[in-house]
Amino acid sequence: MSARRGRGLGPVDASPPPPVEQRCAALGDAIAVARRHLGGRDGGLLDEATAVVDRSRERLGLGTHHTVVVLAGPTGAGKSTLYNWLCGAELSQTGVRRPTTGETHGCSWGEAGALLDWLRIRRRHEVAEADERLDGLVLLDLPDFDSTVAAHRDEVDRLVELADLFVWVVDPRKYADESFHHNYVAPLAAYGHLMRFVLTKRDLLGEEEARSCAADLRRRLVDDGIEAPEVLPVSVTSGLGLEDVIGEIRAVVAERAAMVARVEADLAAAARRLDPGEEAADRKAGRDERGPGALPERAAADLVAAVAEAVGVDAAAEVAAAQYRREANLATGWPPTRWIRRWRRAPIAAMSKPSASSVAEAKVDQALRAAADAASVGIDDAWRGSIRERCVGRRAELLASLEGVLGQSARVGARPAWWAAGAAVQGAALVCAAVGLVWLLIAAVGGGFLHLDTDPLLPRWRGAPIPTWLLAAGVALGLATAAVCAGVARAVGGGRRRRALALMRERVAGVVVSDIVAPLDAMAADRRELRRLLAVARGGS
Amino acid sequence: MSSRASLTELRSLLDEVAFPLDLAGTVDGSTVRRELIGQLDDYVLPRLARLDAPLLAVFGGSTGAGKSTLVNSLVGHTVTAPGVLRPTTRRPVLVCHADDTAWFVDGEILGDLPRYHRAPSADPASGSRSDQASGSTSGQRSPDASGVEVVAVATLPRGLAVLDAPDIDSVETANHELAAQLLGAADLWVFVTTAARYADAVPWEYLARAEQRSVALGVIVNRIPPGSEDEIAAHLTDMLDRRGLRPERLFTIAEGPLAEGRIPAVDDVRAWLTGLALDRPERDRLVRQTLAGVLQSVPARVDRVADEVQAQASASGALASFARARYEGALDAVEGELRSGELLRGEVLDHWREIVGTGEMMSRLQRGIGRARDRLAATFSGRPLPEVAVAGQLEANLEVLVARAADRASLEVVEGWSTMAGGAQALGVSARGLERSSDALGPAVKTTVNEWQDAVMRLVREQAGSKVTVARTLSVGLNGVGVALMVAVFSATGGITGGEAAVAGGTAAVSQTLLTAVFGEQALRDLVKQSRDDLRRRLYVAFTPEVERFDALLAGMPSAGLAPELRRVAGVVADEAGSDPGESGR
Ligand SMILES: Nc1nc2c(ncn2[C@@H]2O[C@H](COP(=O)(O)OP(=O)(O)OP(=O)(O)O)[C@@H](O)[C@H]2O)c(=O)[nH]1
Ligand SMILES: Nc1nc2c(ncn2[C@@H]2O[C@H](COP(=O)(O)OP(=O)(O)OP(=O)(O)O)[C@@H](O)[C@H]2O)c(=O)[nH]1
Ligand SMILES: [Mg+2]
Ligand SMILES: [Mg+2]
Repeated sequence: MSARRGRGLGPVDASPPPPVEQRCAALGDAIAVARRHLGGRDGGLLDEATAVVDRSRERLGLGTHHTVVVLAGPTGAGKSTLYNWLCGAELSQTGVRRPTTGETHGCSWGEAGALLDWLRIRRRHEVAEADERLDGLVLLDLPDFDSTVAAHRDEVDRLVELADLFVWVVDPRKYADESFHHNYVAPLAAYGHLMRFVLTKRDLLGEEEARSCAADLRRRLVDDGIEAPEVLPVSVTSGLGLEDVIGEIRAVVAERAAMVARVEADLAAAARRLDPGEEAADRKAGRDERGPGALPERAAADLVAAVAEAVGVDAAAEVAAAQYRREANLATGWPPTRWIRRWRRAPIAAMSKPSASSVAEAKVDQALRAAADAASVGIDDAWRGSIRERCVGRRAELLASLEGVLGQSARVGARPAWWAAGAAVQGAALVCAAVGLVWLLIAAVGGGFLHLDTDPLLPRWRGAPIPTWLLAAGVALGLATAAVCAGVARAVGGGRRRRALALMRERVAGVVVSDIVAPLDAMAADRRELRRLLAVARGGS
Repeated sequence: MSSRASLTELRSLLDEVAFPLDLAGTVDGSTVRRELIGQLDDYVLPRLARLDAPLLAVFGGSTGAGKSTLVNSLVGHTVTAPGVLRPTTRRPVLVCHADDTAWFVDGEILGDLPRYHRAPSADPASGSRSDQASGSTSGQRSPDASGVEVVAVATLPRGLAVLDAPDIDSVETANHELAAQLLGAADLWVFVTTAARYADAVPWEYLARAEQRSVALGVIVNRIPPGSEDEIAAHLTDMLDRRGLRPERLFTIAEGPLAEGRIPAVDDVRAWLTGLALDRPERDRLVRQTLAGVLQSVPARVDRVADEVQAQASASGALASFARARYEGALDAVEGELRSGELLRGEVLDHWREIVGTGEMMSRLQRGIGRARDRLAATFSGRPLPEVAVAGQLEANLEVLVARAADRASLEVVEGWSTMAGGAQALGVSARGLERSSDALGPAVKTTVNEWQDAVMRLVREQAGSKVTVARTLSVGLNGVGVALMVAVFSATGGITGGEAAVAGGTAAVSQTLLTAVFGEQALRDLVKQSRDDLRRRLYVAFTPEVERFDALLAGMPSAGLAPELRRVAGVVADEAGSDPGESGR
C-alpha cells in the first residue's frame, strides 16, 4: 500500500519501479547524504533508517525462496490451534489457561535453518510430508500481545518487524480491542497489503452474527487505514473456512513476492520519514532551480552589501585614498614643509582590522543570520539548524579571508612616475632657490662685510638681480608644483578611492560566494540528491 | 468518617491544579486528578451525606464479557441490550427498585452525569443501538450518550442498584473514561471477565486501582468452556492473590446456550446481591469499607497530583530561569565587548582624535582654533560636530552588539528549551518566531541607548558644576566631557589608567587626562561605574519584553504553595477517615 502511495506521488512515467536492491542502496546513500549535513540533528531518525537498511539487506541476503508468515493476535484467539492445524501436528500447546504460548514456534515447509536462525526462533519444526504448494513457507505461532505478560508483547513487537505476511488471528469477542487496533493495525497500516485477518471461532456464532461481526471488523480495519481488508471467518473446530486461509497462504507463498513487498514497504516508510518534503513550499516560494537551502540572488546581494559595510569597505577605501595623498605629498610636496607630515600617523597604520572588531563581527553575524533565514524558508527544523550552522558558524573563516583581501587594497603599490617627475621639479626648484639664496648671501656678505661693489656680483635682469629672480622663481615653482601635485594627488586619490571601493566590493563578493553561497549551493544540491534517492527508495524512478 | 469541610477544601484545591507543560508524568497526573475529582463529586461527597442510600453495584469489565447479558439475567428483564458487535453498551443502565429511583434520578450520587428515567417496558435497544450506530461510524457520541438510564424493576429488592457499565478496553476510548467514572462511584465493583479475557493487561490495570482503594469487589468469570471452570478459577485466584486482591466472592459461569438471551445459571450471583441488600449490617459494612478505602487512598493519589504540580513548577522554573540566564548572558557579552574597548575602533577613534587631538603634536591653542573651525564648518556644511559624531558612532556600534547578543540569546533559548523537559511542547509552533528578537527590540534599544547618553550628559552637567570652567579651558566643552565619559565607559579600565593606550592609540589616555582634570580621580571612578551600571540596567529593561515572550509560554502555572497545601489537606482527610473507628465499621 505504501509502495503504491509512494509511486503515486512521484513523477508520472511508465518506467518500471527500480529493483528492491537498488531501492535499498538508494536509501543507504540517502542516509549518508543526510548524515553529512544533519549529523546529530535528526532526532534518531537516521539511526532508525540505518537499522531498516541493515535489516533489509540481511533479509534480501537470505533469498526470496522463503515467506515468513506470522500468526499474531490476542491471547486465546486460537493462534496455536490454527498453527497446529496448518502444520498438521500438535506442535504448540493450546489451552484454557491464558496466556498459553510463551515462546514463538516456527514451522517450515522445506529447509529454512538460516532464516529461522535470523528470526531467532528456537522452537522449530520441519513439516515431513510437505505440501509442495506451500514450499518455502515459514509459519510462526506468536505469543499474545494483550495479556499481563509484558515479555510476550516484546516478542511480538520484535517479530512484527520481520514478518513478510501478517495473519492476524482475532477472536470475535476481542475484534474491537484497543490494544489490537491502536497498537498494531493502525501503526502498521502501511503494510496493509501484507495483512490477512482471520476471525476465529466461527462455530460459536450464528450465520447472521458471523456476517455482521466480519463486516464490523472490516469497517474498523478501514478506519485504521487498511484498504479493502480481507477478513476470513474460520472455525478450526468445525473446519469452516480453513481452506480459505490455506488458499490465501498458498497464493502468497507461491508468488514469492511478499518478502520483497515487505522490504519495499519498510524502505518506503523509512524514506517517507526522512523526506524533507518541501516540494509544495518550494513551489509556493517560487524558488529557483537550485531548490530550497540555496541562497536566493537577492539575499546573496544583501549579504555582500552587509558584509562589505560591516568590515568597513568605505572606510578602507578612504584610507587608501588618504594613504595615496600622504605618500604623494611626501614625494612631491614643498620640501621645506613636507617633512612635517611624517610626524602624523599613516592612515594605513591607523586602520583597524575587520576581524579584530567585535562590532564588525556582530554586523557580520547578523548579516549571516539573515542569509540563513532567507535560505531556509520552508525548510524543516533539522535542516534549518544545519543551514544556520553553515552560515553563522563560518563567521571566523569569512572574516579571516576578508582580512587578507582588504589589507592589500589600501597599499599604494609601485610609486607612480609622476611622483618622480614632481619630485624632480621640486628638486630643481629647490636647487634654483638655493642657488639664488646662496648667491644673495654671498653678495650680502661681499657688500656688507667686505665692502665690495656688489654690482658685478649681482647682474640684473629686468631691473632685479638675477639671484633674486632665481630665489623667487625657485620658491614659486616649488609652491606651485606642490599645489599642482596636491591637486593631482587629490584627484587621483579620489579615483583610487572609487576603484578601491569597486575592487573591494568585488573581493568581498568573491569571498562571500566562496565561503557562504557556494557551500549553501552544495548543500542544496545534496538536498536535491537526497530527495532523488528517497524517491528511488520509495519506488519512484 | 471525614468531614465534608476538608473534602470540599480538597475538591476546590484540585480545581486550582493545572498542568500547562507536557512532562513525562503529566498524562498520568492529570488522569489521577480527573478521576479523583470525579470520585469526590460522584461518590464520596454524596455518599458521606447519605450513608443510607442504596448499595450501588457496578458491573464493569471487558467488552463482550457479558455484562449486559448478566444484568438482564439477574433482573429477569431485558433492561440493557447485549450484542455480538463489539462494543455494545455505550450508555450505562442503572436498574433498581421503583422506590429507590429517586436516589439516582435526582440524587447527588453520580454527580453531574445526566440521568434519564426509562420505563421498564420501553425497549432498551432503541437507546443503546441508535447511539451505537451514530457513535461508531463517526466517532462522535450523541449528546446524551454519557447519561445514565435509570430503570425501575420489581425483581430487585430495595436498597440495591445494579449498573451495567460500558467496556474498559475497546477502541471506543470514550467508553473507558465513562466506565472509570462509574467504577469510581461504585460501592461494590462486580468485575466481569471471561475465559478468554481474564489475563488481559487492561482489566488488571483497573483491578490495581480497585486494590489501591480497597473497593469491595466481586468477580464473575463468564463464558468458560464447560469443564474448565476449576482450572480457570484456580489460575485467576492465584493471579488475584499475587496482586493482593481479595474479592468478596468469585463466581464462574460456564458458557452454555442462552435461554431467551439470559444465562440460566446466575442464581448464586443473584442470591449474593439480594442478600447484601437485605442484610443491613453486611450492606453497611460494604458501603463503609469502600468509602473508607477510597478516603484512605486519597493521600497517595493527591501525592501523585502534588508531585506532578511540583514537577511542573520546577520544570517551568527551570525553563524560565534558563531563558533569563541566556539574556543575562547576552548582557554580560555586551559588557565584555564594551570593556574590551573595541567600540573605540575605526571611525569612533578618528572622530575622537578630532575632538581631543592626537595629544602628541597639537597645542592647546591649536585645539581652540580647531574647535572654532569645526563649529564654523558644522554650521555651514551640516556635518555633525565631532562629539556628536562620536556619540552617534558609539550608539550605532552599541546597537549592533546588543542586537546580536539578543538574537543569539533567543536562539539559545529555543535550542535549549527543545532539549529540556516540557520545553519543546511549550515552544510549540511558535518556535520559529522566537529564534530571533522581536521586531520591537531594535527601536527599543535605540531609545534605550539614546536615553542612556542623555543620562550621561545630565550626570556630567550635575557633577561637573563649577568645574565646567576647567573643561572650557580644555576647550572641549561640556558635551566633549560627556563623550569622554562614554569613551571611558567603553574602555577596559574605565579610563582610570592609561593601560589601553596601546589599544586605542592614546585616546583613552587623553580622555583620562581630560576627565581627571574635570572630576578628580575618585569621582571619575564612581562616575564611570555609575554609567556602566546604568547602561546595563537600561538594557536589562529593554530585554525584559524579549524574556517575557518566553515567560508567556509558561503561563497558567498554579501558585507555588499549591502542592504542600494539597498534601496537607489530603493528610487531614485521611486522618479523619482513620480516626473514627466506630463509624468506619472496620
Ligand atoms: N470453539 C472454538 N474454540 C476454539 C477455536 N479455536 C481455538 N479455540 C479454543 O480457544 C482456546 C485458545 O486457543 P489457543 O490456540 O491456545 O489460543 P492462542 O491464540 O494460541 O492463545 P495464546 O497462546 O494464549 O496467545 C482453546 O481453548 C481452543 O480450544 C475454534 O475455532 N472454535
Ligand atoms: N452462549 C453464551 N453467550 C453469552 C454469554 N454471555 C454473553 N454472551 C453473548 O456474548 C455477547 C456479548 O455479551 P454482552 O452482554 O453484550 O457483553 P457486554 O459485556 O455487555 O459487552 P459491551 O457492552 O460491549 O461491554 C452477546 O452476544 C451475548 O449473547 C453466555 O454465558 N453464554
Ligand atoms: Mg498460543
Ligand atoms: Mg454491554
